[in-house]
Amino acid sequence: MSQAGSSTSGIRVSGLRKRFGSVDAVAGLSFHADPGETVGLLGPNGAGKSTTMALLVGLLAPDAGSIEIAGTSDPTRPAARRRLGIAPQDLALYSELTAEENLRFFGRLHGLRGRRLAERVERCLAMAGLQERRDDRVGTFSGGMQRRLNVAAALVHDPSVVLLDEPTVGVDPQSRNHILDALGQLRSEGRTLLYSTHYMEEATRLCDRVVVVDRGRVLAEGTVPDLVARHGGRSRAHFTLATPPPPGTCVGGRPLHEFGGVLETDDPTQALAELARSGLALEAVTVESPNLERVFLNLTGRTLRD
Amino acid sequence: MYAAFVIAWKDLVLLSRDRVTLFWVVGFPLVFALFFGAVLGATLDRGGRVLEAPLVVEPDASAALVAAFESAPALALERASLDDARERVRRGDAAGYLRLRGGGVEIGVDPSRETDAAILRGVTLETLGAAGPAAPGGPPGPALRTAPAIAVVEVVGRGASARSVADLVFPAAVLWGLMGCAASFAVAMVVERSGGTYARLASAPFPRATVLAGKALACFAACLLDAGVITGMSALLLGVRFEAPLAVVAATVAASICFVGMTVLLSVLGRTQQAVSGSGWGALILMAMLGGAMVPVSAMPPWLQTASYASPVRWGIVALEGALFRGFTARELALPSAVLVGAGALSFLAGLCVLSRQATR
Repeated sequence: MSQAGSSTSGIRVSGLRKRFGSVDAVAGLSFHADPGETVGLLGPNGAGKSTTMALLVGLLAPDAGSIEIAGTSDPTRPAARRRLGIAPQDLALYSELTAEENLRFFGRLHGLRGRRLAERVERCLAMAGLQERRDDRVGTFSGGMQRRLNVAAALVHDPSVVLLDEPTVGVDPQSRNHILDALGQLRSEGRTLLYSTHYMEEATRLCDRVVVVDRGRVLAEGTVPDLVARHGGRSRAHFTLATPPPPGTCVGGRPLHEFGGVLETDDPTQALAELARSGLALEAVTVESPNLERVFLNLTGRTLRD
Repeated sequence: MYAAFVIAWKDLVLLSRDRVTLFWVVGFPLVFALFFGAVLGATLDRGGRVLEAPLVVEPDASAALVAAFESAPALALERASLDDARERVRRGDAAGYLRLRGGGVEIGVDPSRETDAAILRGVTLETLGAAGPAAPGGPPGPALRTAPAIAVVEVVGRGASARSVADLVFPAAVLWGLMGCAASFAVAMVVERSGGTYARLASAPFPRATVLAGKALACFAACLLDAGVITGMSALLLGVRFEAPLAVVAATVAASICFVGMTVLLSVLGRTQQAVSGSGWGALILMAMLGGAMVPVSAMPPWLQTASYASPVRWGIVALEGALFRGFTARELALPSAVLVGAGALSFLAGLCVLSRQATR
């Protein structure tokens, strides 16, 4: 029987703060994930995502703020931890143990034994697509296989709340797709997922809502369409000219350079019509609609991060 | 508690699959035993060092003989009763004693410290040679009038005594094994802490101390297994005989507890595998050097012999030697065992304090 869908399986974070020396890793973070909801925690490197995850599972003690997770305000309580699964960003597996031994070990730590343990291990091996490699040591696995097993190990005790910290970092498209399919299955089972990532397509595909964070603060939150509407800006028509335009030529009120230009518009059809009317020799035109990546860059800026 | 056993079992499985670590834990102590056994089998050169020994002066002892020995430059003698002198030799605190009675000398030696005993005999003969006897017809002086009789007696423990070099090397071999365990598990702990697996362990439904308890349990089990293997190999290959096995087990358990505590302390000496490995082995080798697991304490200058009590290795050797061939009683074994357990407990608590502060920072 699954623990998914329990009324005690949400996450609520309010005014969370954590400081390391002079750096505010988490600076008054507030967000929530309702039971059964999949929420993406989206932010650049150093935004405070992993610190937030560590605070949520009680690995770190917050300086201020409150956490309510899996039905308790104290994530270190055993009752809460039995309902909580975590897939850390670093691989949390023993390379000298086999895939099955790893899953059995983590299952036993959560109190599973006997037939129940065997069933859960079997299911998680299937979910990771590793049934045929169950007796091989994890050290012999590819990066993608290890990542799949890393996620499976978070689920072996059948948690109702799952925290996933960038679970697809460095894997090939096949493994990424496999992991996202598996997480989609968890989502459909009604589990609460908090999914930290900086891959926009993953957040778009998987998450009911997205919380954009940077420098330990929430910059925006909402559904992907909502965020795009609010922070995505206008559509852009990028066009390339076959021949240089006459000097001083303007389109949409902006001067053209030798090879083309960009039109920002709320109505791409109208912009294309204006280009056609201009009599310019067009070589190529592409229209870029606002998307989550644009939201992300608009909110967090284009400055390189450490 | 179940979780602690699960963690301990996992750590032992990991140890069994890591051949390099396994060598340091089991193979190296055996190499040590064979190598130093061969080295110690040869005569050690004491150089011009002064030999300390208790001096028993019986009421009928020749005054000239007493004067000759008390002024001997190669000897540092301290007067003692016969019982006290014998006890000091039996406990290994002295290589031998000198007993002056009538016109003769009794040398009581520790058969397990053959080299020291031989030097004591040599120095005795040298001292007697320098003191007399007076040449026939010569004037009476400080020299002895007649050649003194020399008797050599062996002072052995109540139970067994060291019969071979292997007996002498066995305690150090066991301690090297325990140090190997401590270093390996300290590194394993920092690897676990700095990797993702710790996040999973620390977010499991039991107190964080259970994780540490599991690791300590695994280390303790590895120490006992290690000591068991070394004991078995020593008995089979080197001919070491265990006539007081319970005492040896008690001493081994006490030393194991000490090094389990040390493991926790060593694991917080750094935050990376390299840092803990380097500083951990450095600290252990210092302890081994000072404690007599590399060079016998009896070959050290007096001040270093005193300083060696700061090393738990010294107490481990005292306990194991006492159990193996010095015939320690339970009461005599209690002191080194208590020191070992106490040092282990203090180290464990110190490490735990640092870990607790690091854990939630």
